[in-house]
Amino acid sequence: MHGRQNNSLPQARRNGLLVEHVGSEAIVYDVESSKAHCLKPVAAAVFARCDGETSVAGMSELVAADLGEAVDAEVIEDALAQLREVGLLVTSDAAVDGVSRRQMLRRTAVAGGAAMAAPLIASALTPTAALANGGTSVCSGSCCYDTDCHPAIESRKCACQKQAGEKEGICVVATS
Amino acid sequence: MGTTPGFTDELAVEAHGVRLVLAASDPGLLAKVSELAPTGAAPTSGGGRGQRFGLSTDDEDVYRVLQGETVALACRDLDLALAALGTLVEEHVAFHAPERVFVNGGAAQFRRRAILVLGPPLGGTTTLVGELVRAGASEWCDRYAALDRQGLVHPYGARGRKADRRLWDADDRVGPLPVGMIVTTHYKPGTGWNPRPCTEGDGVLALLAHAVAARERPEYALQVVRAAAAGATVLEGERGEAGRAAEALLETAGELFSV
Repeated sequence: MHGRQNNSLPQARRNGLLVEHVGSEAIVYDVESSKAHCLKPVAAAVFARCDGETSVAGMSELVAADLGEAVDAEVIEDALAQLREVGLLVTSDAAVDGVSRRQMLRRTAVAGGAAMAAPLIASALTPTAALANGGTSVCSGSCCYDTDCHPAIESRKCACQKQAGEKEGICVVATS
Repeated sequence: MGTTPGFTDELAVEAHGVRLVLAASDPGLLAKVSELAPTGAAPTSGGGRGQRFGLSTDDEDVYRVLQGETVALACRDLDLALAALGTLVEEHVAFHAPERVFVNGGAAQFRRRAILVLGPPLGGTTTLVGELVRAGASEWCDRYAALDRQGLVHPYGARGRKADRRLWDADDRVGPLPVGMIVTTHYKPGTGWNPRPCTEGDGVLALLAHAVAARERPEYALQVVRAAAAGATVLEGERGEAGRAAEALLETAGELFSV
C-alpha cells in the first residue's frame, strides 16, 4: 500500500515562498499564488524534511524525533498530500510523487481507520489591493450581492440595481 | 462624469508617512474635508505634495468627490460625499503607509491591550466593536487597524466620521497598544458565542489574510503581523447577538489581561 510513496523523495518548493516559524508551526506565504498557509506542527516538520533526499519511509522517524512524539506513517502521507495540494511541494507528476489527499481519505475510510481529524494546513488568500494608482473602491459601477452594496460607504446610500437572475448588480448612487 | 472642477482651498497633510492633499471648492467645504484626515495626520509643507483628494460643489448642488483627476462619485448628498471621500483617504493611507501594515478590521482598547476584530465584509465587525465599547472597552480603530514594525496597534479613524466622534478624544492621548486578543468572527443569526481557541500561527494567518498591501509587501507584512500576534489570545467562531459576544469577550479579556 505504501510502496510507491515510500520510494519518492518529496521536495519542498523554495522559490517564491516566505517562511516564518511560529513556535512549532510555520507560516508559509506563496508569492506566486498570494496565499498564506499555516502549517500545523506535523505539516511544518514534514515540510522541513522535504529536502529531496529523504524518503517518505525515512521521514517518520525523523519527524517523530523533531516533534518529540511518535508519528504514524499515514499522518506523514496525509501531510505530504496536503502540502502537495496547496502547492508547496515540487512535483511534476502526482501519480509518481504520491497520492492526493482525496485518495488518502478514501483509502483510510476503506481500511476502517480513523478519519483524519483537523486539517494539517490552514490557508487564506491575501486581499487584493483596494486602490492602485488612482483606482477607487467607491461605487465604481459594479457591486454587489443583494444588500452587499458597497460596504466602503458607511451610510449605504448606494442602491444596488440588480436584474432578476443576475448575480451582480450595478451600484447606483442617487443624484437627486 | 464631467470635467475636473477647480479647487480654491487646499490643505497638505501627512498621515502615517503618507503625504496627501485635501482640497475643496470653498473654505466651508475644506473645513469639513479636513476632518476626514486620519488620526495622526499633521499639516505639512514643502515638496512631494502627494495624492490629492477633493470635494467640490457647483450651482446645481451636485457634490463631486475626486481622487487626483478622477471623479469617483457625484451626488447631491453631502454626507454621502464626505463618507465616500473619507473612505478614499483612509484606503489610500492604508495602502501606501511605508512603516505600517494596515489590517481590515476593527479594534477596541481594554486594559491597555487591543482586541482586534476581523471578519468578512458585512460580517458585523463594526457592530461587535461597537458592543465592546458599550460593554466597557474603548474604541480604537474602525475599518483598519494600523500595526507598526513592533506589531503595536495605533489608533486609526477620522474625527469627521460620525461613528468615531463619541470616544475619540479620550483615546487619542494613549500610545500604541500591544495586541491582547485576535478575534475572527462573523454574524450568523441564531448562533451563540462558543469560539474555538486557536494558535498563534492561526492568529498570524488571520492577520495576513486581512492585511492591506500584503501582496505588495509580503515580507514586511509577515514580519509585522508575526510581531503583532506574539502572545495574543486567538479566537475564531461564528457569533449571534453582538452584545452577548462582546460581554463574553471582555470577561475573557479581563481574566487574561493584567491591569
